Amino acid sequence: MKREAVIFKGTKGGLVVILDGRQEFAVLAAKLREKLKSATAFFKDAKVIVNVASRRLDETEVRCLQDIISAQHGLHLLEIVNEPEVSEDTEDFDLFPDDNEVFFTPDGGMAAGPELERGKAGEVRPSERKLEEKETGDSNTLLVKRTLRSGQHIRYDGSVAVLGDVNPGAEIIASGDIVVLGSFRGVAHAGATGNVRAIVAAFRLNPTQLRIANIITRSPDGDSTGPAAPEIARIKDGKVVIEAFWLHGS
Amino acid sequence: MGTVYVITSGKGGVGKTTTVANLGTGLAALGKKVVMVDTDIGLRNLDVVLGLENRIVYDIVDVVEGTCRLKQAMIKDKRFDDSLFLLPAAQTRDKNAISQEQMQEICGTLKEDFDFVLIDCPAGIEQGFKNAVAGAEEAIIVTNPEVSAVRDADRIIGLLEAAELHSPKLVVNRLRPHMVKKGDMMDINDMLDILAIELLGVVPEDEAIVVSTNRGEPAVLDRASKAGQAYRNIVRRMDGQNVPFMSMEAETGFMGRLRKMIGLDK
Repeated sequence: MKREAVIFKGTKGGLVVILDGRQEFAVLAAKLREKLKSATAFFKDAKVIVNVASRRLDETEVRCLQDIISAQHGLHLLEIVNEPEVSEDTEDFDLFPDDNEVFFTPDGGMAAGPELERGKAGEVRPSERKLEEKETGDSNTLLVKRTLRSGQHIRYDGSVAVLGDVNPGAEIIASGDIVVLGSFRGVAHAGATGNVRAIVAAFRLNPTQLRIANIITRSPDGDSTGPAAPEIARIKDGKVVIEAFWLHGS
Repeated sequence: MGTVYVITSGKGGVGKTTTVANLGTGLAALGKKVVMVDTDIGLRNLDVVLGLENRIVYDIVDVVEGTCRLKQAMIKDKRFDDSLFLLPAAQTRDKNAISQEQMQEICGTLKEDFDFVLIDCPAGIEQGFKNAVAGAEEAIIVTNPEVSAVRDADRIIGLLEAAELHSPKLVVNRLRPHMVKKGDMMDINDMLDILAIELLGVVPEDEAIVVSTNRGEPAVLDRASKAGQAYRNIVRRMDGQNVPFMSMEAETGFMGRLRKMIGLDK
């Protein structure tokens, strides 16, 4: 698998940015700027640690990193470290080349798929616990106990559950999953920060538009009757598929 | 102490002004004391529909600017002895001429002397809407059995909830039963599925409305009009009576009856 120039990892200590040891600094700086811009919506007062592996940076390069990071609202460069290259097995959950793997929790903290911990010697390593496939890693779910009307929207960093309908003209944007115990007739964007494993489920899944990560889809033209049973939408082979949702097993 | 109702819709042209004129007139016919307030400043219509436009001397903007007293701006409808009044909007100003606080004050004063204060809300969700809603305690949403009208009504319900006006009631206007039967028009249940509020009444499409508007004589006074009958029923429901909904069977003329006889129309 092609190694990413810039990798983001969330840890309890802050956001760790790992710059690939083999690429040109200028390329890395540009990539960093670009990645920070695209995930702008979810950065909140994050402390950033940049791991430049075995590279030695001169003053201009350090200042360049500082500038790029402080240009991003809410981020502060805490330190630049020289840690050994991150081992190969932390990449086994990086299935999508240009994706941010980091998931932000609403309190400003961050969590990635399998949690990364700071060891006593200061090294960054993956934790022993492997995340079950059924868990998304988002620890927060917002429960909305009413119907969402046209023009109302929810933007949440986590998963969203609705006890009611979502009417046409209403929007739910979540970094995690979206589950509606009612009719979903609005616009859903699950996995909004890039999580292609996010799902959208509803008793009656009839959205005007459905988005998971960066894939947008709509119902087939001419389909006016709508579904008769609960359904779940997810990405399979790069496309959004909608299947009947069975409560026993998956 | 009366109640202040705002009659609103979001979408324009669905029948808010017609509904205010008919409900106001109908309630007065039941013996209630009613004042109707037109807040569509700059595009006033309520006066025309009631046949009172040539009696306007002062309007609501004159009242808030202190040019006249509230009583001087109110026009008495001569058809009902001291029971039905209109507070007209200004035509030469726009919706920024009045504020939400001023509306609240006027509504507070009016509800002391009247059983029903009916506020005719303009289309939209901007200042005109906010003004109309400011003094209201109850809301009636008027809509048509039509996708864009329902979409806008849903938006309005959301905004009313935010303004602490919970449990609005629904009036479905301009229903065409034969189109509903053919599946060419939304039926009431489809609408209630999305809007999920209490149904106050259903008013069928009726040519008598066009005539009544032009003449300035609300259809609720017309015994022969089906729309008038629907409005009379709504008025009785507002008075607390339990009135069953009109059967919305399609009108059958001679050809219709003939087709039914031969079995062409079920």
